[in-house]
Amino acid sequence: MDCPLESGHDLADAYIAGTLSESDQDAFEAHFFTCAACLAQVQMLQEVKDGLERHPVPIEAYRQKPTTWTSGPWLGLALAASLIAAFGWWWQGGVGPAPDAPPVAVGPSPPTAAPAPSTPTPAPGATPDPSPSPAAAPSRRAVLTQLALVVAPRYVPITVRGDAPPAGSFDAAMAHYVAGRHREAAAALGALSNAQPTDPGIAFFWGISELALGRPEAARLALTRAVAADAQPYEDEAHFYLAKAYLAEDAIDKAREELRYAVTHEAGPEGEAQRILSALDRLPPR
Amino acid sequence: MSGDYETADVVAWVAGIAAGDTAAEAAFAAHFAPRVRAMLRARLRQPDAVQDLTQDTLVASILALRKGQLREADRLPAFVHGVARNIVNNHLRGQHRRGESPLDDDLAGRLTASDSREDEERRSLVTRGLAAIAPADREVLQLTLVDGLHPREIAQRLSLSSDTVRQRKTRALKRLMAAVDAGGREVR
Repeated sequence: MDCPLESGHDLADAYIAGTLSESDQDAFEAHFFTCAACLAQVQMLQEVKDGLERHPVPIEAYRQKPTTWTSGPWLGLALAASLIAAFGWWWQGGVGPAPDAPPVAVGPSPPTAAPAPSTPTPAPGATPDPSPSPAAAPSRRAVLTQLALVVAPRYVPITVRGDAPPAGSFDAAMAHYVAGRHREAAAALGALSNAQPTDPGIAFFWGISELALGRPEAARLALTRAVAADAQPYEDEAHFYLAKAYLAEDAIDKAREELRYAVTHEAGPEGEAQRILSALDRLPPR
Repeated sequence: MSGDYETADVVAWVAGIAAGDTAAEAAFAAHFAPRVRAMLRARLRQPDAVQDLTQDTLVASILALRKGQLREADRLPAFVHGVARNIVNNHLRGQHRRGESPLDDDLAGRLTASDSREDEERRSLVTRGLAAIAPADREVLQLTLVDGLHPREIAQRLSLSSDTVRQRKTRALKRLMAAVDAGGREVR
């Protein structure tokens, strides 16, 4: 048998799924007894299958979500809603104050030191001015705040353990993360990352937690570690979230650089990096 | 040794085992244990049986090699595969009885835990990598590996194109493989 990896006729999926004919099954086994690359793929797929069997993706429930323009639910609907609201508000001339972030969205606090002085704040219940003046456009800072919003990527612990994770462990830190306790998660993951600076998973989720807390500088430190670890899937995804940190800091050139990387490497929610790049082209000047 | 297949190694193992060289037996077992285990995991759904039958396969193979029953050394991988296939088929038919064959207790003891550390490391790396993959990509992996669906069937079920399904699967597997490779490099 020619190596399926080299001939492009991948048999490993069907082998693991148990859907090969008996003769193909025998032939493929005889092959991976002599092919280290195919053996490695089989071993990895077996772990993937076991993990998915322990914690299956709720496919039907997931498909019912109206993900009309993004199939990458890393950020999910909250970010979609926030961006749509932000751009709608922006294009409409910025009537009234910036829209509130959806409740599940997390991100930097709205700017307090640099409010948009030209943006009128209508009284509650007031009718918006139907012909807003150009001066009512959102500030650059407000737009960047919206673009920098993140929703923490969902983390689903795969490993089954009967007892609570031990204090100080990655699993314990991620229990805070899953529960949305980002302050506690950031503290725990930061400590772990300082002890194990080359662990990409720890650094990645630490960076996300810092972004959620609105601390882009700390997020950059963490995400830069995740990139430096040179391990997927964290490296590529960390570039996308580094862009978010730069957006929060108004470092547009660096944000663009990270977003271009994310576009090239399909990092972040599907199409999201390109949409943010397009939005940056219309960013109000400083 | 668990790397690429080398004819010279195989010939040396066969000759060494026939001559009673325990180092050759250990090298043989270290090389073939992951292969046999991968095969048995795919054919059986009982982790305990996988471990036991992997050991039985290695012991039975070594005992046969000690007797010089393999005449073409370069056919060793096919020979071990055949032994494993017979053992698993007998097990599935309820005809395999552990302990019936004249197992060398010392030999069995030496082979029991081979490769378990590597398995654990891989499991940990895949677990973390899998948790960080987008649910849309995990969904495709699940339908492929657990449900055994063809990309065309997955595409119909998820209202996607077959190309999109393949892209998501390829992207997810590429990232998982890279995570395992990077972790392996770090461990080494």
